[in-house]
Amino acid sequence: MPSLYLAIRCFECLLATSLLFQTLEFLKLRSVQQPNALWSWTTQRGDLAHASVPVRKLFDWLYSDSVHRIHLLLRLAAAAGLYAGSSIVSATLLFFSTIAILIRWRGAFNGGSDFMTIIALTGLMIAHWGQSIVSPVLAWQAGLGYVCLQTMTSYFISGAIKLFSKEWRNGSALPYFLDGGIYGPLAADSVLRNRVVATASSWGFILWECSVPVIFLGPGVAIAYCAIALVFHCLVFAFFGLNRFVWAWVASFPALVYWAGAW
Amino acid sequence: MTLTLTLIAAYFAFVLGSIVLRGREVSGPWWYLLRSFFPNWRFYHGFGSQPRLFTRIQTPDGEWTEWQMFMPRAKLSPRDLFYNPHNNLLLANQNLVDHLAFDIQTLPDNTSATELVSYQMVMRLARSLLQQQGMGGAGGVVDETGSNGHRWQFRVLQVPPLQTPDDSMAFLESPVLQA
Repeated sequence: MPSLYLAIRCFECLLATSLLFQTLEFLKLRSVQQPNALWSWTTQRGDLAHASVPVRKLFDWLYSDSVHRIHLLLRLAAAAGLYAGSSIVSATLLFFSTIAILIRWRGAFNGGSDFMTIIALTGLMIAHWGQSIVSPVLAWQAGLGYVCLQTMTSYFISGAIKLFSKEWRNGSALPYFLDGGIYGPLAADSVLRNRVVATASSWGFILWECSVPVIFLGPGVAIAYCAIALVFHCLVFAFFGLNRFVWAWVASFPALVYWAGAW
Repeated sequence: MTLTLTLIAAYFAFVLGSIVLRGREVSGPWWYLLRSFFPNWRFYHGFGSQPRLFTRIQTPDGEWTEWQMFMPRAKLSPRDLFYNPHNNLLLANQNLVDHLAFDIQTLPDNTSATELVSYQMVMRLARSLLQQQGMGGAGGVVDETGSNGHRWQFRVLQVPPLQTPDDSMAFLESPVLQA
């Protein structure tokens, strides 16, 4: 059985890396959040028209340029602090900071990577707040267990939903989506335009994603599954530019490997 | 061991069932802003129409340019794996167009699309695209304040897979705006 301590440290360091990259990007993107810029809060605060006056004032203050900058710098420090180890303070700060940032980007900035970041931080919250109820070991196991279950669900649903799609089963969806990718379109002579190759690739992804429960065969199988997952996420980055997906999912791998050998 | 295996199998059977039998979707302003807590993991499953933003500008001689489609495109760089703010912003901007398309489909009666936050943001996006592209030819470049006295327009088309965009796909066209 993998060491719980090792799993925790790997989880914290990989999560730190993911959060650091995200926060540096958010700091850079402050330029498009200035008044009169595309993502100006002046326009976007209309999303909170339903909220009470005090709530709207709170968010006006939170998203003012100077406070937002301080918030992001604090988040950067808290993320870097995870390399030395997490605490109930850093876990709580990063969790609520992420919620605040996502509301600033109308609920999600980068889709799936936002979901996975929230899941990892929820796992961290469970691990720290849970220690006021149960032992630290049990609290960390619960936190990593939550991350493991959600990560497995992400792969399983992503694969199964394609299984129900005729276009994915016959291979026509793959080149269609790759053409729409940020680094697209595919070259006219790309091998992925070949129907046989596209169909085989599609089925490969679908079966691999749906087979995520096999990690419970043991830590060795889980490590192999995670290695393939890393290649998969790098391919997604290479076609769709989704760099945050790579780091957000990689941060969850220690939880998968730990739980693969923990029962 | 047997109990654990049974529980794992039951969980994934439940997940599979939830894909087939989808319940009522919960919606609301706070649900929308906090939707990252409720991931659906349905990546690239929809082979349906894609909302696309188009812009055009009137040149000094009164002619309208061709509609230009906004399509997030970039050149792959290994550095992007670690730091990719510009391209992630392009994708977030395309999401604005997707949300506007959804908002219009669910717009209550007697409500104007122009009141939507997503409409106002897409209008800003369209204007910023015109600024970046310097559309309008000689003398028609939009300055940094967005003002050059020219008139411009944007529209959103629902483009079905593998089809060339045409006028019949338009479901939103802005009035003529002054740059």
